[in-house]
Amino acid sequence: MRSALRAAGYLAIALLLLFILGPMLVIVPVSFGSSGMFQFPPSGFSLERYGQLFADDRIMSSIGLSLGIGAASTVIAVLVGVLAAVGIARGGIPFKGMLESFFLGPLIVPLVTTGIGFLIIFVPMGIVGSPVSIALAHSVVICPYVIRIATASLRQLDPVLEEAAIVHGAKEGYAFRTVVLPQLVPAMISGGLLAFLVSIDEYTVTSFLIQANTITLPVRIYQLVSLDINPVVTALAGLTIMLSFIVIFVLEKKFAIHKYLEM
Amino acid sequence: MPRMKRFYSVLGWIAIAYMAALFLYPLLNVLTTSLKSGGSFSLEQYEKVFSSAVYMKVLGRTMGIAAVSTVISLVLGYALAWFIASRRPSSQGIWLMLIISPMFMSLTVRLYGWLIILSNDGPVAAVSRALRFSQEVSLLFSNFSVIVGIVHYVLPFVVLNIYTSLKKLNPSLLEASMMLGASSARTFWRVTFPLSLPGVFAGGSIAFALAANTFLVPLMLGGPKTNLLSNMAYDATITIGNFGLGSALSIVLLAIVVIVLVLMGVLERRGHHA
Repeated sequence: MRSALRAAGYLAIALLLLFILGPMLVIVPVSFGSSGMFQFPPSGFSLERYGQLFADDRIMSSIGLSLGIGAASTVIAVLVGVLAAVGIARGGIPFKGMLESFFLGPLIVPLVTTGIGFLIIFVPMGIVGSPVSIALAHSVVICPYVIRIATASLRQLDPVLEEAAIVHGAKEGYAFRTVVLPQLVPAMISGGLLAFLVSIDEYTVTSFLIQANTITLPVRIYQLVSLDINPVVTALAGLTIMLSFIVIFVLEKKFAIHKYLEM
Repeated sequence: MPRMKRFYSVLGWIAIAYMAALFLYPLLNVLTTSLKSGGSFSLEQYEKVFSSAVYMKVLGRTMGIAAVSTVISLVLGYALAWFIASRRPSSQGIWLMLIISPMFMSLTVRLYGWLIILSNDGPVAAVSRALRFSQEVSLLFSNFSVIVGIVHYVLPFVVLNIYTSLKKLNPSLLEASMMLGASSARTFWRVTFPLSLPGVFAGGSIAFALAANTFLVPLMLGGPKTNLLSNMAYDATITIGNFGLGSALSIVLLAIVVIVLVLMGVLERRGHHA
């Protein structure tokens, strides 16, 4: 009875794992196949789609655009996020609880609301559709990820160290740069990495701001999958998945990144 | 150390200024745009939303789909978090990363995967044809496929929250309960589950907010009859070009999400005192 229950439990977990990994498990074989892009299991083996992928200028320019926007918005988000985190965790700003909710606001406010807001303020400035407008919008959307990780990390640090620096005559800026910032580096790296991933995958806010010459990667993938039905996207999707798995595996082995994700 | 505190406050204010200019200011613009008609204050857009059978139906569907997806995610997420927390401590990290790995992968790509799985040439249709459940299997572009997509999207967040709260449990409490003669089922329902409720509420709140706000999942897995509020707000703003109506729809969505999150918070605090 007990062991039957246990076996049923393991079967349920196995099915759940299949559900979780399913979409990734079907895409990779389809990308190496030569049959329809919605057919599984695929028939035939071919690398043709990967060849087409690297020869596709539109996809390559979308990848470049998304990487550029991701890098720029991550730099802004890490900067603003660290300032916000020290303000929340160590500063004397009134209404701290409200302040924290305000900084995490972009996670709660519907992305369409945020998207319409950016559209409304960017139209009169004449920058809708420019990479700069998309990067600014992304910096706001991804900032909460950095703030959350940096705040949690600051709360675990001992303020006695900075106090010691001040007592020994250091200026505030010097104490911050040499004592606090170095201790925040792991939080900045993991928060920044998460923020970067969210930026290069951001669809909703971006869809309000794009123009024909600034199609970011996720928008390009959507167009190829749902509108053009172009099989070259299978190679792009397969490559994304294989790269993501390798990156996750390496980061977990090297840095045990799961520790930074626990809430 | 007041000097350092003042310095940190100044840094904090710089961040506040940035978010005020690029988050709060646009948000206030959406609100004022939704409250204007022909240049003067008016509730016309909201009257349009609340008197339209189409919009009310979409509103109901959005809430229904978000609620169903949240409940399913909590049940599945609890089972998975429990499974991870009962592994050896040294292997919990790798199990956790495997189970939440979809979080790090492009949502657009994952939804393409679901298009393959649920298509008429896909594995689910093949299995159900082999079992002779039905001849014509059409799973895509329905409420079902949208819910599958949403659950897959929010599940990692739920697992993370519940796993974190399970890990914080003091094992000596469980030992005490067992030693005092409680069965393992009774220990679970009387000790473990109540102590993990903060994680359940936090996970449920995130799941509901993400599910109600989702735009891409119905766009790719839904059909014209499964549009949710976000899609309606986008269409009104971009396709029709009516910023006022689009703003009003998105503000209604924002209000509902905030109300549900506040209610969940109240419910959780009630539970603590009971």
